[in-house]
Amino acid sequence: MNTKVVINRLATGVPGLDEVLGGGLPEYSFNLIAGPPGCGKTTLAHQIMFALATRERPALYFTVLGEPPLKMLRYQQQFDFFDSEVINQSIRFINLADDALAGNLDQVLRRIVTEVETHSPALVFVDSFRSVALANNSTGNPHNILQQFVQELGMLMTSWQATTFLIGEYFTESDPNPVFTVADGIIWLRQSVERNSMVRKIEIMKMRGQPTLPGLHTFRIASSGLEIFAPVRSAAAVSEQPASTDTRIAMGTPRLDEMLGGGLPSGYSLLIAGPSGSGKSILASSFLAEGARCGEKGIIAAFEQRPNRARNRTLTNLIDAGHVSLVDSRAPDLSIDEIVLQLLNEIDRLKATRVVIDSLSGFELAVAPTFRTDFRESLARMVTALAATGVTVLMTSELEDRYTDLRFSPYGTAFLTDAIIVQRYVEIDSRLRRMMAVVKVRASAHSNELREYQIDDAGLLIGDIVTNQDGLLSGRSTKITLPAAGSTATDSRGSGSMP
Amino acid sequence: MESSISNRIEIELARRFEDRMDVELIANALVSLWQEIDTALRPIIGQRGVAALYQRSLHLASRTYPWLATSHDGNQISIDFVHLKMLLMQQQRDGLIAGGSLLFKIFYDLLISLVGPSLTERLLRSVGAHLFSGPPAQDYA
Repeated sequence: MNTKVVINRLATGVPGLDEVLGGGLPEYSFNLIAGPPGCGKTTLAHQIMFALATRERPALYFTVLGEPPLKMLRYQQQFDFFDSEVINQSIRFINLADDALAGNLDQVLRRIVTEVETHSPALVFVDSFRSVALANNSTGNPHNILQQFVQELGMLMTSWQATTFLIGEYFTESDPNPVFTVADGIIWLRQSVERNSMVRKIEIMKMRGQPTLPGLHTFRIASSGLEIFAPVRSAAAVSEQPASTDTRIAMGTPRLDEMLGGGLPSGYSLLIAGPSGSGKSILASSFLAEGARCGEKGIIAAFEQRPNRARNRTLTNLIDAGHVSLVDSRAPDLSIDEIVLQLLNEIDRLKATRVVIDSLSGFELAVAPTFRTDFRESLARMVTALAATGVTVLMTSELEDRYTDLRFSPYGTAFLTDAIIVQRYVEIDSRLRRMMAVVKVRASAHSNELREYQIDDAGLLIGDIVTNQDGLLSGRSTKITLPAAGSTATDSRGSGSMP
Repeated sequence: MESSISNRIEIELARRFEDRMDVELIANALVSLWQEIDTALRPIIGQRGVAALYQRSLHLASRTYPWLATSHDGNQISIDFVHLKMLLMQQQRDGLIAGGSLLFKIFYDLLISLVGPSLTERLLRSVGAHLFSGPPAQDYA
């Protein structure tokens, strides 16, 4: 028989928080919500309280000094979770300012105990805890007095079977504050400012008895309250089934399927790299249009600077007809985790099979500066998370046309994707012409031909292999003089070779 | 938004004390209502918080009824009920009900402007229950 205590974990009602906490909030735990002013501590506390408090599980919210309760109620009720009807029923606010102003922590503690005895709350919040400490005007060592106070409070609250939250402003986590030792859980909220953007981040520095997700996680405060963007690995139900080349899907661009060795294997990720104006977005639209023609739903994450002007008609029609869902986030604090979560939600909602990210370059500009350092790692996580859902992903990438340097993407992302198509401008007969080639299709035969293509109203028109030019990718192509009839000067490697 | 509770208080006061000239009775009823407000709000916003709202209401109401003007400084720790009763006792019946009701209305409106009508209604729901559901004034005396 298992005689270990079973710790009940409470669902906090804050999107993403339970995942980051490692499965919810342990019941009867003694927690600290810390962070600088304006980071969302009080909002987080209220959101948790309104989600958890019931008549059977009432909450007491002690306000001490600092933000006047009227102001707090005024601003907190702007959030959707705030319900006036439950005030004085499942939720009671209790002001301890008069006790705190007396400067005696014993008196504050006594008052808390009296209220707890009267109302038997299952949830207790003390906001702000730092002001409790500041209110203490005794002459003893403030750390010792505070530690004693916190220990007594923690012991009392646990004995009273209350899950407790101390909310406080702490600017540095290195401060050897005794509260940190006593607390079962420490939830730290931060604001990361870089250039003109501010990104909110949450860290579970400590949560006794459960495996939290380490690291900083982005969150946003909207009218619904806090939403935490847990890392995709935990958010997605990862299925480890590898994509198979057995099922192939059509790209919607004539002759491209043939170049790919019979279409793109379903569940693959494809990178289309090319310079500006080479037709990457057109190819992506055709990919989605072909999906719509086959009755499949698609999603496009678009990061153009001017979405309405830049978007082509095919795509607009697909979006209007409901075949394609547009994920178009322009938040200044956009994180990759957030966009991945949006994509995964849309995939799930629409049962989508085709996803386009147009483009990685625009995406990099769209995410907040603080995420750009880790862009490549985050991109890898995104590709993995999307692949895990089984969708086929097409990503475009702006490629600077450098003839001395054959690259496929500016992020070294080529290895991340299962297939790569590269597009280039070449000069032939004093004309700027477009070429494309399939560079890679993992575990599949494909063409290695450099094909010329043109763009017209119908999309990309892929022509034949360029047979009488050499050195096209170097930018200095040379015309090959054809020898006598019956033989060919080009190395006609043709389609069907392995990469 | 109309402060329905304060309107109800005015109507109820007028009805209950109709044809009665007992100023002390009316003043006691008004003070009792303020004590109920204090009891309802004090745990939530603290006695200084309630006192600050009350002081502001007195100040605003005194523009219409100068007899409500108070010489107290603006930093009261709690509502001075003795002083309030003294102010009320100096009035005639009609002015007392009208001024007393306006003071309630201003207080409610002030609270509504700060925390909205639904929370105000929730916080002060119990206030006046005694007045509305209690025995008629003549038995009350």
